[in-house]
Amino acid sequence: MIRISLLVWVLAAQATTVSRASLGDLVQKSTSIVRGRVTGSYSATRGSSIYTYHKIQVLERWKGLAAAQVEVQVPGGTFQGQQQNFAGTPQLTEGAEYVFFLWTGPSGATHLLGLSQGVLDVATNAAGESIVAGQVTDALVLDSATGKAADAEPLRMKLSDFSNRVSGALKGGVSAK
Amino acid sequence: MGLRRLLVSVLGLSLSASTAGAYYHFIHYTNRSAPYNPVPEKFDLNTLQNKMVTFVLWDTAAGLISRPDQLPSVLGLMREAARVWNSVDTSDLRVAFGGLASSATNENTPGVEILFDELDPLTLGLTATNTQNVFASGPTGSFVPIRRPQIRLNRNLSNWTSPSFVEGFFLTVAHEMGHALGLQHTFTASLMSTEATGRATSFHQPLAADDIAGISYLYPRGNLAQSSGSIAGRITFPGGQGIHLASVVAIRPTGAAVSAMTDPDGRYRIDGVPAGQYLLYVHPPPPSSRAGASAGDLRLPVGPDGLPSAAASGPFDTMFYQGSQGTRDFSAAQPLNVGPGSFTDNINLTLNRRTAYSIPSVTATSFFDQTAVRPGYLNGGGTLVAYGAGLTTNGSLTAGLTVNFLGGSPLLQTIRVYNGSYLALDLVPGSAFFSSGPRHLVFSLPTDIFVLPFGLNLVQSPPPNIISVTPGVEGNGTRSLTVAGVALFTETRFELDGVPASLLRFDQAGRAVIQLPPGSGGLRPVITAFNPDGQNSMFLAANSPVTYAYDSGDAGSATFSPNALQAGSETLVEINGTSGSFADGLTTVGFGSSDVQVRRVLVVNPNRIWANVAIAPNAAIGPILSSLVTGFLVISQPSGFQIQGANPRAPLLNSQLVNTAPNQSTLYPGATVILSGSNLSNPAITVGDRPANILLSNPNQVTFVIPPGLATGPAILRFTNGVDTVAIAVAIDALPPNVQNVAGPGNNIVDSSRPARPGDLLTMAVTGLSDGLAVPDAKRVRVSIAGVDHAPVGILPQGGGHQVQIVLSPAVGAGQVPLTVSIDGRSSPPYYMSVAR
Repeated sequence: MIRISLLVWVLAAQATTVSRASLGDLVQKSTSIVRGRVTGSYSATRGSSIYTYHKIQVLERWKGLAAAQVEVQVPGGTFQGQQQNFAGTPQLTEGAEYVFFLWTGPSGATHLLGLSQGVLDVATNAAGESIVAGQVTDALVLDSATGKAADAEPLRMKLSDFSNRVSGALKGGVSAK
Repeated sequence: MGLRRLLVSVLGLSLSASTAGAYYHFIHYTNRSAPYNPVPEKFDLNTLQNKMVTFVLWDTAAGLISRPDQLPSVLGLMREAARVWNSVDTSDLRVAFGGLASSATNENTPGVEILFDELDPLTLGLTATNTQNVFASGPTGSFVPIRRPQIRLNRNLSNWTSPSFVEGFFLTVAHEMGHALGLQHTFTASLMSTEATGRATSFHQPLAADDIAGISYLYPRGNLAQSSGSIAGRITFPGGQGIHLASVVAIRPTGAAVSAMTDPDGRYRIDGVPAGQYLLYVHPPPPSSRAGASAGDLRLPVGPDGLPSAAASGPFDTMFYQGSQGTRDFSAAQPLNVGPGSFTDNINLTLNRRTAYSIPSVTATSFFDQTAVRPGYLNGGGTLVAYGAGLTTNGSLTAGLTVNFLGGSPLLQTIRVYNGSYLALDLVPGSAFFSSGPRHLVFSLPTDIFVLPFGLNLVQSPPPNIISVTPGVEGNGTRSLTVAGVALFTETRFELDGVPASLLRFDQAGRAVIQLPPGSGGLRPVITAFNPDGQNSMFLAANSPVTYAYDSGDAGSATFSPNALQAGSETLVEINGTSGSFADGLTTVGFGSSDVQVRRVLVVNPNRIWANVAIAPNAAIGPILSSLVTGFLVISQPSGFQIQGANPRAPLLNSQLVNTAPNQSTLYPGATVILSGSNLSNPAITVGDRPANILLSNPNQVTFVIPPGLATGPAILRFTNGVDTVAIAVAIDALPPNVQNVAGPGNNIVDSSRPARPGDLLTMAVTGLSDGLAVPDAKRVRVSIAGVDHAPVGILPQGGGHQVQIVLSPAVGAGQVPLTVSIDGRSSPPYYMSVAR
């Protein structure tokens, strides 16, 4: 497998300020929530800024418009020998499966909500069950309620539980805290 | 020497046995075994004009941010954030905000670009230093040059929420700027803190001791090593293996905390520690559960091959230093005395591994109505809420958990668990008096501890609260706002959406009268009061802030003259406006390029500014974007300004003139001053259109006399070498104060036969404190006797000058001692006075 975002020679400062989000925040603030597989990526520039675009094949959808594929824009990347890395951006593995909390902005571009916070690994536990686990962001985290710094907490649960909680939260019946 | 020639290969570096510095920076190592030689990322001062890094904001910001009307606030807060890093006396790096920049502008001088981008609602800002694993060498050792970092900020300003947009945005920008300058995260609640402990800094006090030590380590200035102390040692596991990336913190029980991280061999060195008595503790950075991510959100050091070096050790015990064994009991910790220039080595600790973190991290919060504020602020007593894994178990207080405050606190009456995972610490005023200021919390379990620096601020007043504002007009015609509220003091800073509003006075009803910044009709900024204790008025008004609606005003236009400058020159740019809104402290000028530096801005009148502008010798030729911000008004001129090629024969003036008189830093009529530069042969100088008497000259320096009789205020200095003429702006100050005599008891003049004695009320006859007989505020006047500061106890007009009264301090020794009186930076020549004991 290929590490899409692993860059060596140009170095990211651990220098990102991200608001802390609970699962409920992620559900509420996302414009779509999908389980999907990374099928490829490329980088492009806008001015002096480099962006990496990840193509996601959608396998399951809890929120948002139906589409078989989405393209996610992540700050930084490598373009024509120029490299720009930002902390807090997740390392996505081509071919791997994730749950994505996505946010589509006014420009039409789709972003990961809270950078690494918006990506959950999908894996199999010892009992053979699919589980989702949150990537702890490597960034300064602020509490969205207070604007002050807060703790980052990993998230880990069965995919079936996750699905129930997200679906419940979207229906307004079950807390997704 | 050009940057290219400074760059050397990793293999070419000489190795030394030095340990990591006072902070955790972005570190590269030249080898993969001990002894490690840390090489930090930083700007190369030799590539910067006047050692200054310029931050610029892309001109696309106005069209991108969610509220274009807040662009002036954004610009003002960026300027303030740059000033924060520029204000560190022990750092040689100067930092400026260069205003709006065109993305099409080419620049050759290293600098930092800031841009607004569409980011998701949870991401506020990102910074990339954009360095490469290539080394350079400088006077303080090897480093990895930072040349052009980029900061991206969320274009949706509503993402900076309560309690204060101004403070939240400002601290985020200042934090990201710190990264761009080469600072990584700390665990001491400083501005550069990670999420683990949070920031305890504020709009009023944005930098903590750790931030200052960190930037000073990268860019040391003056006698830092002599004015502060160092602590060093090694942190190991039993058996002697070094612990990598242990955080070692020197902490004063009610004050500063300065830290360092250990290298892969466990060695550390904390530099830049202010003098005082410290406790020292070592803790693991908080954990990360994701494979590949480093503990504490730190970027791992980079090895000679460009790959991350060894991962962080941990978890391990947290201990205070008590000798090599350590202790969890902070009251048994061994204090370390740090003095100016002191170096305390071999402060070693051996710590046991742990299988898991018992308390990975804690945050502490206080509540004002429904607004959560972190860190907590308590006035006398109240409830502080602590949150963190390990504090509770199954909805109950974790067995054996106790909470203490270094340096004491109000009485901790109860610890309650609520919502299953939060601790409510109920503190009540006890009989003991506790000074205000920060308190560090220690959470103790039978087998581990967690230290939360600056988790609580004890304050002596409630937060400022603005109840209402009333517009008015001052006697001189300027517009003002009268602010009614509580806990508003002379030290309170007022901001309208981040644009400062000067405090003019308090009226008879005790209301603060502030100057209304220039604005335009339709603006409705939030008014916020910030107090020195860190509290602000949004603590109580986050959901219903007081605003003011501008009913009139517009930016007008401005013309810049000349509109083309030569590379390698420093010259005057005159800016004429039409809005009548230029004001000292409110108006800034920028040229949106790190090649161009605004060295001084003088407001001549509300429609005219003189700015001294320096262009780098290697500046990129082409158009640049000039901009001017005054209050809420922004004027920019895309492509209105050009950088042209250098004129090698033109005089190059350094606008920083030097007064030859000892103790004098200002320019005044009759002063003998030195102008330095190049191509200064055959000089002829006028100041304010009056010819100056030239005393000495050579091609690089001219000594001349400021024409006597010149009026105070801005003036143009014109220099010609017979071929070319260059102008710069200078500020002509009033004559400095002068001490005529000193009278002691019985109104007798103090002399060797009647010397002054400690405790005597002394009356000094002083001229030059003000233009007329107006009595200056005593806070502006400083009296120094033998280096001992004396606060005036009275100032009265007398004759053509003033009488200044002080009580002679017992700290002044006997003999003929120098006495100086100064006001606003203007100082009298020494007056020698007899003192006996």
